Amino acid sequence: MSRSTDVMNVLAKARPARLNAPGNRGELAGIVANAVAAEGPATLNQVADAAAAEGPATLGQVRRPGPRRMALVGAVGAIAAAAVVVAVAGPNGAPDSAPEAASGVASSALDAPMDYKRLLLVAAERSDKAPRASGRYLTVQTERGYAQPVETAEGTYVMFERYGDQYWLARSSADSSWAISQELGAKPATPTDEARWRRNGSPAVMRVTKPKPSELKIAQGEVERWKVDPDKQFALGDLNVSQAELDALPTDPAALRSVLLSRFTGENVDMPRDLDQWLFTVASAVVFGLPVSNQVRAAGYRLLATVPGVRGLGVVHDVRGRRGQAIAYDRGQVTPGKGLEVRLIFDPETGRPLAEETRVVEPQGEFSWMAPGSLSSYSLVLAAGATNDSPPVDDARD
Amino acid sequence: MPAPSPEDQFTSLYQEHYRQVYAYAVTRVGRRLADEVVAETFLVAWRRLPALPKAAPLPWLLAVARNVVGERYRAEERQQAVAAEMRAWITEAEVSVADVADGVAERAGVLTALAQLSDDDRELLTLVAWHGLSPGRAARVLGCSTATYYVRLHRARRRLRNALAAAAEVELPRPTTTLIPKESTR
Repeated sequence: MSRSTDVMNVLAKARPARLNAPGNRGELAGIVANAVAAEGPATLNQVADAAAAEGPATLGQVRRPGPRRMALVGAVGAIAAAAVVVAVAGPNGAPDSAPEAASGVASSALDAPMDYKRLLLVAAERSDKAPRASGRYLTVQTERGYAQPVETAEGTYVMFERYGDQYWLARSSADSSWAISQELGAKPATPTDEARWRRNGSPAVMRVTKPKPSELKIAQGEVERWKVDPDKQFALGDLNVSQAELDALPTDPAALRSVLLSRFTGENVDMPRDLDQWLFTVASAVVFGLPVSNQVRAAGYRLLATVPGVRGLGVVHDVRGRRGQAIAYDRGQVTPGKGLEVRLIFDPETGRPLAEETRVVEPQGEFSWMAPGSLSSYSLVLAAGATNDSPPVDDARD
Repeated sequence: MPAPSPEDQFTSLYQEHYRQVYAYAVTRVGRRLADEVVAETFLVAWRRLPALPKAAPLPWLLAVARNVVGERYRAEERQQAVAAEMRAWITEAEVSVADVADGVAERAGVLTALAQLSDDDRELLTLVAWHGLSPGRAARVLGCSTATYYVRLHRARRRLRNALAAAAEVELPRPTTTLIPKESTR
């Protein structure tokens, strides 16, 4: 296998033909007949009659499904819906270099108590003024961390299992798009956890027993690189979204709202059923998780300012100690039934999204082992935006 | 427009999704038992039609199929059926050498590697690769959060890659470089 081929793409192509259902068998009639035999209500008889009348011929006419969507085949393990992106990229790339020098004066003004909506609008304005996307690649670079419990005789401590992900989406057909991913190794969640980990002998490998057995390592993994199809990398809400669709997102907040709402499916997958909560989640994905232009991101900030039920938290620091303003959904339950709160951290001075954090408000289900208020996962946006840099691969032109 | 009758609703549900439910069933219990699982899944769907998420019933249907499999078969029986099924996949992939020279060894190789993984890993990987579910929907089938799904998927993918590498005669060495975290510039 070529080392630039994602194993998931190889797997997708190896889908066995035996998974294809044989056609023309009148299965519907059979199923319904069984149901009738088992339960016998009159309505079921009608279905059975209808099915029998239609017969196998009708079933045989059912169109074969179209090309299967490889939702996030490449993103596997990489970022995707939750993660990445953006920020103000200079005209020559260097997406990670925010104008730190400019911080001084402006920051004190923005630190004054201020309506969170105004802060979002300031961030939107700054994002809007960033250079229009132009460059060979649209990049998105994140670090994600997920809390895992390590049980010892002396009690449980918490480690973050961490991943670093980069997307480099080519803007020209002459270049390939790449995903680059690395396991960054586990790290204690808090100083208290670090002390417990040390007391336990600073193990390099730890066994996690819940919610699913696994192993955590302190050591970093190797860097993996593979080519991706930018149309099959991302999801927005519960639906996959192509790069073309992301490129076409409106820069006007009202229009963006309509486009996003058109993707509302009403499912309770991992998404809220409540429309406002859903909109908050999807708009935050546009701002913090997807490769969009700074202008679309600006529309996302403006949209977030219109969603009811959002609460401003003021100045906070992300996991890397970067300072920003935070907002959260005030019901404390952005993910229904899971007792979680999502916090979005951004820098109003530059319009950069910094981090998305999920906290456990009411520990339950797969998070029942966590302390109330503790961080269950995070995604740091390290860089994003248009760039003329090349992805760190040997053969970017292949 | 009048609401469609339950019968029409069920018929179109079946016509739209039985192939996908069948494919999932084959991966969980093998082709021989797949029909039973499909039939029982749609029977449950009929009984619970009002509760069905209309916009996107597939994750719901697969979650039902998953429960049906769990309740209907003893673990041992299911494992044997799946093992036989996977042998058939590998054989078919190898047999097709004559037809499509390109990529056949790779297909057989990845199916062999897949067969060496745990049942949980296989399910995670194929939900995305073969059944085309978005991560949120795959998480729904498995009953976990999307974040947890990503973690499990990442691990499963690594184990698949390792199994594949172990099987390959020659594996090119990869440069090991540090990627992220470059500490931020400040």
